[in-house]
Amino acid sequence: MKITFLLLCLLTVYIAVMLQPVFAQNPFTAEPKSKAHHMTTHPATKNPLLSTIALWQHRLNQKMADLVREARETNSVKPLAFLLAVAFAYGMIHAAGPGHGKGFAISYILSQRPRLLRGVLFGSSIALFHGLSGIMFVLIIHIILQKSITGTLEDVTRITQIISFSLITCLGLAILIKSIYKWIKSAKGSHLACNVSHKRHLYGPLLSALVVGMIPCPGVVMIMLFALSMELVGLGILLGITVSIGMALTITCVVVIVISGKNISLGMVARHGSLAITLENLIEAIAGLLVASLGLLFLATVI
Amino acid sequence: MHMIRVGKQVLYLILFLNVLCMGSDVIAHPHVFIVQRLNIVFDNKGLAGFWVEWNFDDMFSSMIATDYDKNQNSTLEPAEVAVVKEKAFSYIAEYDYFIFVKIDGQSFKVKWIKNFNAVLKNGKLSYHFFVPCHVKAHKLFKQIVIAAYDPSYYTAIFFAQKQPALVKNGDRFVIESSLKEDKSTSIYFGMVNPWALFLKFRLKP
Repeated sequence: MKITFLLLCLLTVYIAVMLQPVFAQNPFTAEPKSKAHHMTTHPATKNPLLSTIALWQHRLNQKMADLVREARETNSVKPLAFLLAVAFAYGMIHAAGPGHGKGFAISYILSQRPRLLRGVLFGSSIALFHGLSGIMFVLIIHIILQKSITGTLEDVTRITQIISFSLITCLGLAILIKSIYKWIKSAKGSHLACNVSHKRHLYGPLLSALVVGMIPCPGVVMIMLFALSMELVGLGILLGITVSIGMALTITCVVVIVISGKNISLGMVARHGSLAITLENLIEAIAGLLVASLGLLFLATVI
Repeated sequence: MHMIRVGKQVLYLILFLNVLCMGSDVIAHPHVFIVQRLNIVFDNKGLAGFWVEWNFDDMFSSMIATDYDKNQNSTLEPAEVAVVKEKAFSYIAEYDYFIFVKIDGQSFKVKWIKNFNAVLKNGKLSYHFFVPCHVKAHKLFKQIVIAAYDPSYYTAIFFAQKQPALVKNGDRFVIESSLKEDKSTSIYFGMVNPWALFLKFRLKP
């Protein structure tokens, strides 16, 4: 019962922290929608890690720019290995900060019981789609359509956000309905054995990851543009992919920890049989509700 | 063996809890990086205001240059600066230009700025503008705290390591200054204390 209480407390805290939408919108180039979204509302725990992440990102960003310039000026591939290492580190640290779909990934993983490999595929695909979307955006908008980046980025981000958040809401609702249905069935006793033995798979990890990761990563967009300004399109794509791989590693680590944490917590109550099933159903239902609420909440702030 | 297993489980649970709290953060994070310098300007009566110099990172610089350096000559002419001001600066008026001032502990809202200029040099973009802020000097110290931050945390603003703040026309006053975290201000849902310039000045005896 203590474990049940702990997990429920965790979920409650998680929900409370999650329900504070702030948007990844460039304040310099985007017309502000509502000031309230950007202001500090109440004190929370200090997080010195955030400042450190920002500082390291700044240093790596600067290093990356210097190395791209060096590659351009010397016309050599010598700085390339170091440049890719820096881009990888930048991606890792960039995704360690808030955002990048980690909140959705965590909620989704909590609502399912995936095998580790599928979880890893899901986590890394979110980052890869997020980065690839940024690369595609620049290639299509800047090179093919030759439109202005700043305004278009805001528009494309908004449209993809609306699509992504709508699909996430539907996904969350589907999880919630399915979990309630399963709960009713198991309460009747007909599916008890099935629930114990059956591993819940992560349904369509690539598709789910695409839903979360389709919004173009502004970080990758800016790196691509910088490389393009040096007339290094290939290098820009390579850097964008490397940054995405770095982000994928961080998000994958988060997903692995969540899967392991959930499995251990459930393992602790496994000897109580029915309690474990009830608990898992409860987590699934709450996480499904959370995914749907997040989708709706974020959707409400973009439209 | 049992103890090791339990230890591992506890470790995983702690990590799990951390990840839940970390991952559940809001979705904005720095994409634009600014290195800032302040130039504090005094007149005969006291503080007149301060110049803000923002030096942007190369990536954001290239984005602005791509869109607004229309003739692609790697410099911004007055007409281009006007567009930059309209399309890539004026929106932050909604966020008090990211400049937050306290005079003797009381908040001073930055409603407008003067003499905006954008410079593109060697591919690096910088903004320059003046924030009028008149504070009359007395025999006792007046304390001014100037912090610059983006409340949405999309932009990270750092003070320059070399000459982060300069004073102009300050000969008539006793001036003390320091750069440190402003512990009385919390941004980004209370998780970060912004760095600020703490400035004290009074009339010379």
